[in-house]
Amino acid sequence: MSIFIVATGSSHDTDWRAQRSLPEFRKATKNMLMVSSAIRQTLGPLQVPPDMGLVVGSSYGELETTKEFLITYAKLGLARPFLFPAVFTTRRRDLSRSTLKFRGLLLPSVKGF
Amino acid sequence: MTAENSLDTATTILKSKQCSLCLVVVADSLVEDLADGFSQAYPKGTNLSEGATAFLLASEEGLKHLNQKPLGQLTKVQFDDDKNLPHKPFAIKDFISYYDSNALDLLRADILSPRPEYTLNLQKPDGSQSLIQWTPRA
Repeated sequence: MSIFIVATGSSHDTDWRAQRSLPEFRKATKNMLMVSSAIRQTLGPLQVPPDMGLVVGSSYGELETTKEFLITYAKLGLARPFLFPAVFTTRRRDLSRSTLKFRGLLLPSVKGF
Repeated sequence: MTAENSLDTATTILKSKQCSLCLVVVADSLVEDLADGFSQAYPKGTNLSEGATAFLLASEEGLKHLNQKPLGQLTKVQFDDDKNLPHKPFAIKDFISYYDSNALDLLRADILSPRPEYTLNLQKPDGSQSLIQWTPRA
């Protein structure tokens, strides 16, 4: 069975920063902003059908949020920020689900850290 | 092997006909406070970077749905301990602007290059290797 490469996009340096001021990205991590920017560039005006799948991968994962969580917990004994720490990732607030939400997509997804 | 693994997962999903289009996206970002730890985890001379890359893959059915010409065709994704992979000697220049999931970024650069090589034989800092092959649009 043939697998075709239809489109591609990427995000580097600072091109994701512009999104940070948008209300829907208020709680987004840097990974989420970069992923969202790369997806926007890839899909462009393409109409995505409802059966499209999504695979999100990150080798480092959400280290920044995990670090903030651990520092706050060590200093204050409080379990916060309760956003996207890898150790407490929830189904709705992890990188793959949030990416779908930010892009306005309601699709099944597979994540790989 | 995050990028290669993600690419392989997407092709599996498409080949099993769970969907006709699949978006693959990988991302890695650096954490300033953990810079010392990062630098110790990689070979000396590695220039760590960050980024995200996305690919939209399609089966023939998905391609018909989009009614769009493809950039190319993905023909092979091999990684980890596959003994059939050609040996590539370690070269620190391969780790300039490196992040763990940068294989998709390199694949994208090759696809958009005016003189593509159609084969990515990558070595990782831990010595593992991967091979990604593609052909131009039919």
